[in-house]
Amino acid sequence: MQWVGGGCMSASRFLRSVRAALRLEAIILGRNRHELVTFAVIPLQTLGFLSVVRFAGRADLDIIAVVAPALMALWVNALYTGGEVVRKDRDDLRLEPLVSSRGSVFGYLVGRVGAVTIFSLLVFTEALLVGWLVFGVSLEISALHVVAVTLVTTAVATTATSILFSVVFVNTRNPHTYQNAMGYPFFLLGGVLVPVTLYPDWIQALCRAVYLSWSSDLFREAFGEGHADGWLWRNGVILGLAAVTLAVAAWMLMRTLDNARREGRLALT
Amino acid sequence: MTSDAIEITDLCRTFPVGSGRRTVKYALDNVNLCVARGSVHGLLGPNGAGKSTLSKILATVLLPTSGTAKVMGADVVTETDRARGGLALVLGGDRGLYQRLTARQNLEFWATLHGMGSPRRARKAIDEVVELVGLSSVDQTVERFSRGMKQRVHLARALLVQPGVLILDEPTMGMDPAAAHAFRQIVVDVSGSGTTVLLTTHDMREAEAVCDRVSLINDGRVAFTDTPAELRRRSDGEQRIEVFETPPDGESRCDELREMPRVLSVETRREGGFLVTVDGRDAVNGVLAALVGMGVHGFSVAHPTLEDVYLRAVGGRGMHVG
Repeated sequence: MQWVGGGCMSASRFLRSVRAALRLEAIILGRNRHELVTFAVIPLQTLGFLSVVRFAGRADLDIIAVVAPALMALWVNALYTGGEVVRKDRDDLRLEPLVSSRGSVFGYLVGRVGAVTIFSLLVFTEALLVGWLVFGVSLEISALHVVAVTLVTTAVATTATSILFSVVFVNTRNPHTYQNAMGYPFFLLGGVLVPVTLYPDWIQALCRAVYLSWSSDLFREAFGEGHADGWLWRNGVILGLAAVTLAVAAWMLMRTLDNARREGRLALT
Repeated sequence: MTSDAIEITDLCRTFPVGSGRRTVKYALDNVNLCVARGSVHGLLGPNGAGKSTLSKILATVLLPTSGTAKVMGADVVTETDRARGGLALVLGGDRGLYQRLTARQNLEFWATLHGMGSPRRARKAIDEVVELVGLSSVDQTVERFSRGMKQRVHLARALLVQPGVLILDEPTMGMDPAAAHAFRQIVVDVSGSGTTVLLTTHDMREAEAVCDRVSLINDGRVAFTDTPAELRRRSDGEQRIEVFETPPDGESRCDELREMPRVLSVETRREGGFLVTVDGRDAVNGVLAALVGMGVHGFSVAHPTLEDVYLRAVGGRGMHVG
């Protein structure tokens, strides 16, 4: 099979690249103290959202105030940390040795971005714990299996989206403009702050193309006393969106690397 | 199996330039070159001559416009995967590594990426290359390394995969002389183990010190290819006679030398003595006889260096790039 970077990708090459990059990113995240800032921001965000819902006398919405910062942290890390992987590799002149190596660049990306997502899941857990321990939000889980499966599918979709960001951003001159613009709108479209069912129908249709809208609904329903009806097919939709995103990301990566090799832009800084 | 590690035939690479990118500039113009297995081949040339372009095409990170290039028998365009299996690329400068990781962690990453087998086997391979390149402080983060040490990590990374062809693109750029000297010795040792080395540089002493053969690239074309010794021998350029003492009545003596046939220049030196430049080897004897006649006995004849050959070939290009 012809694959990214003009090479033929085998499963073993892909897997060893994922493994190498997972470990690499884990070490990088451990060394980069500034990545831990996310942990410090979560309690403040939770405090802010809880204040709003409680001021409105809607304690029944506490769980939204707790899940929202968790999903936001997941999205922000995908956007900023995972989304910068290729650009940083290019700027630090690592992309050329990577492309000319015997590894798979796509596997490498999956590994590094996947590690960022795993790290983000720790933040997700922190948000729930802060809500429970500090603000006394009840974390009664009506369907633990739904939470677990949704967590996995959301992580997969987040990884796929972050890989896409990473490839898109390397093709832009100033990714920070896009990163800054893609925060709040996607929190709204993803139903992170407000359930998308409250939006007009035509916006709801748009929201359903964003995996976060399915994830946030499922999390809200699985926590508390709700019933996450149809959770299996709804998680299937998240995985489907992830598969499409991943396919687009792989195709774009292949095109990006091939164009860069053709135009001599692989090390362009 | 072909006998050459690198075979380049009619290789061209153009880049669009100018407004609208309608005109093209030839970075490489019909380059033909063969590099024998196990040899160290130097690519010399001024900035913008096409050295790095050629290295990058061979390393499969840049596509040629036309022509073919093979590394260990594999075409870099049509057999990219196989070509990558036989080469390793080292770029000059202190970037290209994961700065927050230790040297060992960097090497472990590349070992896993290249599928070097079990962690134990990878560790053994890392220990071997670390020793080969003389890398101390292997458990220190790379960001704290000097440029010379970083370059050793780069070299260790490349050697880890036991490449058939090692491409070094200006590896000693920015290094202090001692570090550069040590690095060159490592390159010689690596070559001794059977690895073919392609070294791009514009440091003539580096090329003379380590290369079995050198090619001079200028304006995208290979001007010549030969051994450094043969290039010097073939050069019938200027010869220099360095005179270490100033004879009595030095200025008029210098004028006498200037009057001699085929003496191109006589430059007096601030610290004493002077430098006589003559046109051709056979003009040396006359000048030496005249110097002895003046009572001067402290002098030496400097043979043409590769640098002289290089400067003659690139002409008056000076600061012009590209």
